Amino acid sequence: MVRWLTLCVSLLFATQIQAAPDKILYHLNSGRSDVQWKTITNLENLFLGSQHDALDVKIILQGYGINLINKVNENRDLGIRLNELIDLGLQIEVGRDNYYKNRHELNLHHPPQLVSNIFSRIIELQKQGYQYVTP
Amino acid sequence: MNRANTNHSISEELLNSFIDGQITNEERQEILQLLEQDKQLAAHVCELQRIKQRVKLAYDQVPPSRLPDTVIRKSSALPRIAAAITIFCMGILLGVAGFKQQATSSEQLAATDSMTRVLVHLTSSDSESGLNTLTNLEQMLLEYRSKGQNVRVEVVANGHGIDLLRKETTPFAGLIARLAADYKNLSFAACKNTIDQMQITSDEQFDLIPEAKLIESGIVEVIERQKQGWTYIRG
Repeated sequence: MVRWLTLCVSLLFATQIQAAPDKILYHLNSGRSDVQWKTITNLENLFLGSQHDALDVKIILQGYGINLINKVNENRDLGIRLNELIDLGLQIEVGRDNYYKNRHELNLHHPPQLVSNIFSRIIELQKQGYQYVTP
Repeated sequence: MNRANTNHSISEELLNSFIDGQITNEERQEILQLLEQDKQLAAHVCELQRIKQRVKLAYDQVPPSRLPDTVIRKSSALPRIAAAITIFCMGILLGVAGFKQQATSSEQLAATDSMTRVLVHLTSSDSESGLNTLTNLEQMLLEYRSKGQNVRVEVVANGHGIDLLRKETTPFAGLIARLAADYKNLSFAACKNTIDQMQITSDEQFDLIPEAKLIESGIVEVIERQKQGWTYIRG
């Protein structure tokens, strides 16, 4: 009895170790307001539907997609919701050349990571096992 | 052995008790008197005593059991705990091994196949977004070239994305021509299904730019390429 119980616990533990966090890559290249809100809602649903520590979510902002962070100062609701997502573990990446000049003034809980080439980064992350998602 | 001694009023049970010393002093006195009088009874008692001594001797030298300790010490929990710990550790090791295997599988895949294959999917006719996609695409091709890495890129347009490969509507004919000339590992494809569904009147002109080849279905191409392991990027 003890052995069977321990075996079950061991297998459960092994399963937990093997269950690597879900890796999600969200690619946003649109500056349209409705698409950006859809993105925020999608990400909120993603975090709500999963255990936070079981998720590794990155969002790459390309082109006008960078409006998502550029508007946080002027749009309070957007700022609150985006920062909540950052607190849950969302990592933001933007193209170095495309990054907003006054980035230090952005009201973000964690500054975005700058990448030199968006497409190369998307390829690299997908090779690392990130699931590619677009709005 | 259980028979009663018929010659005297003394039972076998009492004689055995006498030999074992489990009788009172009065009974012992009485039996001793009888033994002095009856030589046959005395011999019988001697025989009984001899048998008891031999039995005792035999069971004093019990040989060790051939059964394993785990059977004899059935009540001991130590082996069970050891087995449980072993199974637990095996579980952890299997889990860690599986995790490492999973983590390195993508790296192994990349190592075995040095060619990176990328499909860029155009679905929007928005010129700003199209320019951004082509700019990022060129930067990526440059980076791979500068690092000496092999990459193959196919740009597939369907839906409104067709406009970016249509001679009459695209603002990027020159840019696409230059890219196609500079990078032989880059190709452009337009979805025939989309074109067939476009309501083009007889007085309307429809031509694809020369760099674009016609494929039967854009969406099927996207699916098939992903099945083949191509990296997908939405342009």
